[in-house]
Parts: sequence; structure tokens; C-alpha cells
Amino acid sequence: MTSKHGYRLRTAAARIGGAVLFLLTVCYIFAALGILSLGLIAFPSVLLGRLGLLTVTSDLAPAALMLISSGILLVGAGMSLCIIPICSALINRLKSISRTVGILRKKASNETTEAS
Amino acid sequence: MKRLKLLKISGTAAALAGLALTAAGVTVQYLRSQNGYTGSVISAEEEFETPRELVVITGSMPITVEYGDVSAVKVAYTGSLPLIFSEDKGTLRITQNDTFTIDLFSPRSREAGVTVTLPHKAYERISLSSSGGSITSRSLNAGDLEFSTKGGDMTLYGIDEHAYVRTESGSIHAEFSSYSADMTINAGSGNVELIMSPESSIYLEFFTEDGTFTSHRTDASDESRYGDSVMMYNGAKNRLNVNTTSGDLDLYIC
Repeated sequence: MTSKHGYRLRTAAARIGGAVLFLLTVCYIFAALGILSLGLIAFPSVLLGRLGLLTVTSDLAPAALMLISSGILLVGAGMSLCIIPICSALINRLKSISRTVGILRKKASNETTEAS
Repeated sequence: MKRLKLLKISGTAAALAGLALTAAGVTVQYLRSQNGYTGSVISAEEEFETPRELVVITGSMPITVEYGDVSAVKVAYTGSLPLIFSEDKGTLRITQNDTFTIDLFSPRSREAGVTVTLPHKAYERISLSSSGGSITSRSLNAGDLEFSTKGGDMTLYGIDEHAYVRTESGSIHAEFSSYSADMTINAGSGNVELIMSPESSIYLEFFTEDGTFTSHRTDASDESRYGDSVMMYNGAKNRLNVNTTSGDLDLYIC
């Protein structure tokens, strides 16, 4: 394999890696917001149920329901708090990937010019 | 950078604490289920003397009413709260408790519904009404039959006597064995599907703002018309009125 092909392969790998990272971050954001919404519905409902203002039907025992709903709320809140650092890390990573891709393309084009 | 780090640390700590709480909840639930806890969904069965009139009103619970080989009225239901029963002057009234309820982590609550099994006899009046639940009736015989929903679907088998059927947006599927009465169906935006036997003698009037009438007959090719329609079949002895706003009507004679 010539080094030109090697550069192209590395460029493609860097691009695919960037796209995968972007997709994973989007999935993470949706999961975090989904879990947070579930917690925001479940936890106050359980509290209102405990106060007798709402009838909560569940297959879970009341104590387990309280623990699980508060746990889900905390997990959702924690994951949501991490969204901004994760996005910032992603942006940095994408920037470095695009820089790498730029360097690799330049090297590949230099080699093409030299060869011709 | 410091803020990002702080966010990361506090977020991770909260998520870990949440995971610990959830794990504790799962453990508690496991222990409770080992002790026989099955959840707060109620499944019960009640029995009543045969009434002259039956009235069932629910909010979200599907209703099924049918005849069975029973000597008394049997009511079986699954739901969040006990149903309210009242017997007064020959009328059995079944209503769903309208206290605000919410289902959390409860696959069993999807089985919610009330099934009424009636002894074979002609009743003076049967009225089934549900806001969001569906209605299923099988071969009921009453002087007055009333079915109404807001958004719930209706499946009606063998309603050959006089009946009043009304829904705002639910679909209606009705099968007649020997249609022999005048009937009005108001379906709003819901679609109506009627299945009749070739012996039926009907004068059908379909009034709609934006619906389509389609007749499917074994003795003729399918016919589709947009807007109001009138159809006479087999002598046109019995009247059938169907009114919709945007719902379609499909009539099968087979």
C-alpha cells in the first residue's frame, strides 16, 4: 500500500470516528433528557401519592417505587449536568479530527504532486 | 474549564447516587416480591342480582358486556381503584372512580378493563359509556341500547335491536346478524364499518361533511362515493342513519 493510500485510509477513519462520536453524543443527550423527564414525572407523582393527593398504580412496592423514582431523577439530573462538558469535549475532539484530516489531505496532495 | 470540571464531577456524583438509589429500590422490590407483593393493581370479581337496567360508565377502562351461562350478573374488573356499584330500583349502575390516577412502572395496569357477564334475558335498557376506553358488546338484547365514547373504539356484535351509537373520534365496527330495527350512528371523525347479512333490508342514509361511503357487496362490485349518500337494499324496510363529520363509512353486505 502506498503512503497516499495510507493517508486516505487514515482520513476516512478519522471522519468515521468523528461521526461515531457525534452520534454517541446525540444518543447520550436524548437518553439523559429522557431519563430526566421520566424522573420529573415519576418522583413528584410518587410524592403526591404519598400525600394522598393522587392514586399511583404500580407493580412496585411503595418503598421501592420511592427509591427507584428518586434514583431515576438523580441519574437523569446527573447525566443532564454532564451534557455540557461532554459537548465541549466532543467539539474539541471534532476540531482536532478536522485538523488531522486537513494535515493528512495536505500530505496526500503533496505526495501526489511530487509523484507527478 | 473549572466550571466544566465542576459540572462533570457533580453530574457524575449525582448519577452515581441515583444508580445506588435505583439499585436499592430494585433490592427492596425483590425482597417484597419474595414476600408475595404483586402490586397495587386491583383485580376483583363481583356478583349482583339480575337488574332490569344496566348502566356502565368509565373514564379510561375498556368495557365488555356479553351474555353468559350465569344466574346472576358477574362483573370482573382490573384497574387502579375499586369500581363503584349501586343498585337502585332495578338499575345496576357501575361507575369508575374518577379520582386522578397515574400508572408508574405497571405493565399490569394495561390489562385494565371491566367485563360484565349477563344472564340471558331481554333488558329494558343497557347503556355503556366510556370516555377513552373501548366498548365491546356481544349480542345484547334490550329495549334501549346506548353506546357512547369520546375517543374509544366500539366493537358491536349482533346489535339487531334498536340502538343509539355515538362516538366523537373512535372507530365503530358493528356486525349485524338480522338487522330489523331503525338505528342511528353518530361517529364524528371516527370511521364506521358495518357488516350485514344479505337478508337485511335497509334504507341507509349517510350524512357527512368530509367522509366517503364505500359499499362492498358480494352481489355487486364495490362502490365508493364522497359526501352524503343514500342506499336502498333488499326492500329498504329498516332505516339506518349514519352521521359523521370526517369519518368514512364502509358497508359490507356478505
